[in-house]
Amino acid sequence: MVTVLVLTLLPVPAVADTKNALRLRNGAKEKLCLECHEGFKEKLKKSHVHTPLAKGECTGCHNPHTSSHDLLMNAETKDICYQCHDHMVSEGAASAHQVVVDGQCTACHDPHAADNRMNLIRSGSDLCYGCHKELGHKISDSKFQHSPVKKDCLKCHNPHASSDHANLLVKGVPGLCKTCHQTNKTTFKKIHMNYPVDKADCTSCHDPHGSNIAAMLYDNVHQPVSKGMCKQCHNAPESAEPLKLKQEGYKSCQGCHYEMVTDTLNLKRIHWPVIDSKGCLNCHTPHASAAGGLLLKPQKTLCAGCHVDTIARQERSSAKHPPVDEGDCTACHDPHGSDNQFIMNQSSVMDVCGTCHDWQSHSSHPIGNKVVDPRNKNITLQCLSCHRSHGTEYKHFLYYATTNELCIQCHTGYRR
Amino acid sequence: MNCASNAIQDIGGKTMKKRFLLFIGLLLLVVPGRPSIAHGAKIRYLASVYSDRQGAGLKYPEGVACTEKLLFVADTGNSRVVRYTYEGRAITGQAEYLLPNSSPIKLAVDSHGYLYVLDGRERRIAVIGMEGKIEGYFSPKGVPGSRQVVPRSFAIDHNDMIYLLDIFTRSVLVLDRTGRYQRQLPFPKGIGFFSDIAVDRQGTVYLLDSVAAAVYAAPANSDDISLLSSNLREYMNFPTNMIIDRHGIIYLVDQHGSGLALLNKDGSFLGRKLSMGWNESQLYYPAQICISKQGYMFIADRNNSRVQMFSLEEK
Repeated sequence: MVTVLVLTLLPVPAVADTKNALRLRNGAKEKLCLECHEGFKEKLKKSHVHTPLAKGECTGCHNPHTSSHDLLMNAETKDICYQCHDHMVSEGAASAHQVVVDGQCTACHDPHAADNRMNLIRSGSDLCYGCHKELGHKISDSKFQHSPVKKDCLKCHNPHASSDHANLLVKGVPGLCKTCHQTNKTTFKKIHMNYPVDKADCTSCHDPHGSNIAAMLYDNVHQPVSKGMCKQCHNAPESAEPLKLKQEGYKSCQGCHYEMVTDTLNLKRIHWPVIDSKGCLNCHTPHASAAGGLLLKPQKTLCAGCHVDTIARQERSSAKHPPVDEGDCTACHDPHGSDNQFIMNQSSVMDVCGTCHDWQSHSSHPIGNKVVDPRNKNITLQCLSCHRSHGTEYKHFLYYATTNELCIQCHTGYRR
Repeated sequence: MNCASNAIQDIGGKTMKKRFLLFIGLLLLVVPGRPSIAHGAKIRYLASVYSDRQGAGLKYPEGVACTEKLLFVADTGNSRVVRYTYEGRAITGQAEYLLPNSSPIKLAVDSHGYLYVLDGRERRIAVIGMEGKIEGYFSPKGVPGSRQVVPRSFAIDHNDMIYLLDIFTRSVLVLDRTGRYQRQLPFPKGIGFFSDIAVDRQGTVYLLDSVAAAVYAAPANSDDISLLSSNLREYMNFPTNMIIDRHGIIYLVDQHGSGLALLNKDGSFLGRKLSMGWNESQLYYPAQICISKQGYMFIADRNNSRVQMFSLEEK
């Protein structure tokens, strides 16, 4: 409300210069600018011309004399566009396109004229792939492709915002999918083992952008799904609650992954989410995933979901530790649990670091399980005595700004 | 104080002294309650505990509990609990309670002197008597609809009611000391992950969301857990343990930030105390905290393999 009030009070000139505030001579309004900006004569021939330009109202957006903004704009791009095109993102929208939120309207639209509808600078999905390059490659390279995706992203997505749905979807899932896919057909039911998946989230198994697995299942499919063994985990399809799991939490998975789950439960330090009500599903999807190990998301994003402080530390760090930076958290940690500190996958910190770093040639400084830390008789000198593995603001992940400052922590006799 | 009294007598004799005492009395009446510890808190380092009475070193201790005279340490890496007595800053090892194959991670003492030990490996709570023998395992009875309980943490109030932070049923189970079910406080929606629970003298239940760095609370006898304090992420990294002092100040152990964060009883942030390091009075991935009635604070300084003792002094 306050924002609206402030915006209302801002001295942004009206787009339509109806009152001729510049007191242009008669007939000059449409032609005066074009006398110098000849290139625009060609632009005006394009099939889609922005209305103010078509009316010759260049001053709706530009100040002919001076401006505090680039291109003699009257105000920030976003503010100018929103003068006429308000409500691009409704209040409380479930999702919004970042470029829209940032007011980068010209990333997609030509404010003067274009050959494409809505003054889009490129047509169809090509425009989207300008930014979403990786997705574009995936869509074109997939063995099993989704035809609407090939045609136009806007079949499923709203380019500005979605008031009710995530991922800018024009409709929720499965409603959106059901606009094309008929779920009452016998073949559909048979393929889905007679489970009422018409009410479920199709994207928990299918990759709507295409995949290399038949039926556009995500590239990594859980074996019971690919074998149609839904009953392994779910109630029978004819039961009152067919989609309900037979067991709660990790117990759902323990039947098949008995050894792994049992071993995990016996560890001294368990990763607590493994044994909460959601259990394995905190990190894994039970059906299919684009990420390896049936992870819900790529590892770095997944771990950062809870350990945002750790990932943020790395982002701030002047030096980057490749396993953290590349999202390979399991290079050092066991995500299920461990008998070791920090649920590390080896008991000795030196051994963990030694997997990549040849610490024996690192320096002549005595370190190891037999070298007592002079500051504390209960701990020994190891890699983490000097380096913070997730990063610091100093070089080499050191805890202190200078090497001298680090050394005098133990070598107190050299303190000045 | 003596100097001040003498000076007053020198100036105006007994009348002046009476006036001074009256002034002090009025001042105490005007000031609302006792000064909050956090506003003028001074945490002063007193001592560190590195070993038991035999000289065997502590290894990654994660739990501490204290009474007016006793200090219990969950020596997690050595699968045992060590009992100490303390007087002033002198801490003396007394006994060890061996808990083979266990991973003791949190301790609490009830009003009868029984020690409750949460074993992170078996996810169960051992009850140890004053003689150091395991009397049994605390077992919830009569919890409606529940087939399994996974205690992530627990707290004991001054009436010896036990509050179990059960991450399997996603609720706080309130049980009497025999384990009999009393009531259940379901977790609210949209939380990150509850790691710890505390109960203050008024019976308010506090829950610590480590992921969101937020504190939730439920008033005494209410089953409604609601957000007390959010947006603490900018002040701390990953808090995992919590205690409430007698003034209602909430002490959060910021394990990944190796320090303490203090909140007022309304959840507002008061400040940080202590910092990361290996020297005495510094912390390195601390775990549990306890505060005695006399105002001594003990912290299980996990990755420094020691317990540190501080005094909380009001300025």
